Amino acid sequence: MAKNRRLAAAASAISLASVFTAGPASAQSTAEAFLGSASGRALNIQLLGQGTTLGVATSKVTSQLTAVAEGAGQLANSGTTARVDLSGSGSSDRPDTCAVALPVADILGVGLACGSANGSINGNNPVANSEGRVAGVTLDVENILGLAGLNAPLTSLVNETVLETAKETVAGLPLNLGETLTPVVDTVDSTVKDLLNTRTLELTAGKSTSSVVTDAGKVTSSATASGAEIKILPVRLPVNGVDVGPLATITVSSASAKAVYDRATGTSTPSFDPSLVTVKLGPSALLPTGTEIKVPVGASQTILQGTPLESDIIVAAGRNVTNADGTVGAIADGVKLHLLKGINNGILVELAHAEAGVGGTPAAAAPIVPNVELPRTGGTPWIPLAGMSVLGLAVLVRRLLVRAY
Amino acid sequence: MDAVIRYLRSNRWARAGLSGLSVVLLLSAVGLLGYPFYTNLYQGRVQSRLDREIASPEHKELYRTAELKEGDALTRIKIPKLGVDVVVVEGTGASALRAGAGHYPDTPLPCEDGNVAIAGHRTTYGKPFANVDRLKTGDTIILQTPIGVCTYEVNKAPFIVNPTNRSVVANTPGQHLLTLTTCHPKGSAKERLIISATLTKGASTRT
Repeated sequence: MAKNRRLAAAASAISLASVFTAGPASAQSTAEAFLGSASGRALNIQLLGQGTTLGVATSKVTSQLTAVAEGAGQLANSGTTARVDLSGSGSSDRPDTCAVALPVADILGVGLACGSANGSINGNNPVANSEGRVAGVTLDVENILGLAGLNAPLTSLVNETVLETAKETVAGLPLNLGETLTPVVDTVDSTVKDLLNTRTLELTAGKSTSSVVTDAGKVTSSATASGAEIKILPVRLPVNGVDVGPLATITVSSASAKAVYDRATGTSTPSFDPSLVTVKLGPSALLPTGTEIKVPVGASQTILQGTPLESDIIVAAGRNVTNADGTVGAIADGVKLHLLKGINNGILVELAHAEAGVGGTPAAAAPIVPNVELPRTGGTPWIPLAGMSVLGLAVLVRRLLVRAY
Repeated sequence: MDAVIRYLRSNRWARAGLSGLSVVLLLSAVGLLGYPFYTNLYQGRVQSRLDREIASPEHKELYRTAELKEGDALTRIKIPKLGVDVVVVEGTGASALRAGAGHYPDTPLPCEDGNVAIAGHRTTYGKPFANVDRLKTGDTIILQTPIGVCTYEVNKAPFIVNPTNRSVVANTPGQHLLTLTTCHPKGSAKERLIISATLTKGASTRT
């Protein structure tokens, strides 16, 4: 019984000491955080205060396990828009959502506009992809002039301006074409008159895509905007037995931007590939084969200068940027065209814009904080307890010795 | 037990060894039980040195230029209701707090703008804050620095926080506060007891 009492006393002393002794604060780790986004835009067109954006794709993922993707044939047109919005886990796939024969702001005709999107979240790896595309974009001069109230001056525009300046146009070309100009003036006279009463501009734009893919090692944001081809006075008519093509053909190659985030090191690497632009001037009947101008990246070029069909081509260079949210990104600025400047300030077209951004911070263990507690000023409670225990032990030993003598 | 006693009766060396052990245990117990008294004596000697230090002209200049090191005398704290009158040193490390009370170095100096925080022992080392739980709203606390005197009044009843809750000693620019911290319950470091007071007289700056 005495032995049991002693054991109970010792256990009580130990438990009391443990109550009085507070443990250190536990350290907390920092969770991984990342954000990836990408967007591509095939075409933005502005005319007479009206405008629209075609072929739009955006994607975004975050480390909070969200994935959002939206592809649209025409921006803000639900009939051409597909969207997925995921959080937590799962997957979703929205196939093509399309509209045909789309009239756009009374100035354009779009044959087909479609958007598609898909996304998934598997574990800690969110993925978002989207695509927007258009086909058969056309613009008729009569619509432009009607909207601008310029129907009446059409005849004089053709006779007094276009015809005369067509000569200057050809004369102003970079090649020595003077000798070939004279025989074709009559051809231009009749052809341009017909063309201005029909189609003035034909534009073939492709698709834009955006994608943000997360795997165990990295987050990759990428966007592309495919190229386009713009034909000024595009109708091909046989003149004197020779097929007369567009007065100018502007070919824009695709643009892309990409940013990769390394989840282990927390570093981001952006890259871009801007569009290249080639201009082919003159109907084949007017100019020798191979009359082409390559517009360098970062430069601008004016064609058909001095005519109502004068057009500027501005080829922007790509660049790397640091966004407001801290992500690092790449932008391929695409190509800006100011077409037909002589006709009511012309048409502003932006093509092949792509941008991608990504950033974050890797997971990290919390720094070791030596002592985050308020100072200990309560003494050391185990010392008196230990003193009492040792005193009790000493008494026991003495009693044992007394009995042994 | 009887076997042990029989063994001890038959073995003289065992009895002698056990006798020696009992003496060692007894001395150890006295040492351990006397530890609080020893810390109080030690704190009394430190306070005597700090009394001289805080009164010296050299120390006044060090205070004015904020060149005090951990363990240097900083201010005298007086709590009339509790009969407390000790010199507070700079710093709240274990060594500094052997003086009884220490000033949190990352808080403003006494009487200055912000939240002045002081930690003090509730047991051992003179236990200057042993009875701060008895303070009530309106009780006065006086800080007497080398360059001036200011008075604070307790603005709320003492309250208890977790040991890791350092928000109580966070700075409060624009408010003249004094915060005292000590361990709670008495004899334990499980929690902290906090006394908050507001300056009522004698705000000062060193410039």
